[in-house]
Amino acid sequence: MSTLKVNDITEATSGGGKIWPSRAWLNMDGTGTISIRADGNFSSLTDLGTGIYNATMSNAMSSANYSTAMQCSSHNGATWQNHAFPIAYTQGGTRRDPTTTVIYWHQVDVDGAAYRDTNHAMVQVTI
Amino acid sequence: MTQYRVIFDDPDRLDEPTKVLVPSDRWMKEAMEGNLPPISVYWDLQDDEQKAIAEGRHDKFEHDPEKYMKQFTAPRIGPLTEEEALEYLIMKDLPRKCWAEQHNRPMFKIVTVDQVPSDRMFRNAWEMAV
Repeated sequence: MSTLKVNDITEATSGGGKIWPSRAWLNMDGTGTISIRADGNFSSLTDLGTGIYNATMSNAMSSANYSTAMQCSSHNGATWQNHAFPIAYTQGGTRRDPTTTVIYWHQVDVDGAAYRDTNHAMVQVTI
Repeated sequence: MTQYRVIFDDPDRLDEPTKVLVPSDRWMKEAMEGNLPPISVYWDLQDDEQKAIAEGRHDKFEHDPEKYMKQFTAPRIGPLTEEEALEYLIMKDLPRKCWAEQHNRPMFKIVTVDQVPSDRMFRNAWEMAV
């Protein structure tokens, strides 16, 4: 296997705009004994409590000012769906900000009334 | 696929429920194939960032380029056993106070996945049995 090393990737057509590839991604199951279905550049996932998680990247980002995209959903028979927020507040209200290696997030049901575990949550990091 | 998990308490947040760390299978494979840098590479980065947080300048913090690049350029440490990979992961991903300082009880344990409850009804009441 060979490794492609470049500083920039740009479109070959349509004006040659710069492409910003994902630097890390994760797909997890937050129900039962939580698990990682698949990931890239994450070394671990941590279950902090109901609907609260963090994931640690294998290799740090150069700064903590990266962007995360998250989504989650549940298919456990209930009628609610969930939202994920990329800065976590614990049940006690402690705020957890991202670092260059760790992303925290919490998931709440659609009306924000309660923290929820979900069977599908996806995280993506771009910098 | 690893059958191990690490359960731990954060010494700074003992009022919170016990936490469960799930290793990435992809990362474990990399570790067991010998593709990791020395753990000190990550500690150096963590130390610099923690200092920036403590000094209130994390918003504009960027890693020193030379230290950052060592993640990719430092000589690899060679293949690890599964147990060694878990020990490396604990020293990389758990709060350092969990394993580097003495406490009046263990702050973490390596367990098998079937030792972790699968019923999450009372998840926020989980406590690590001593």
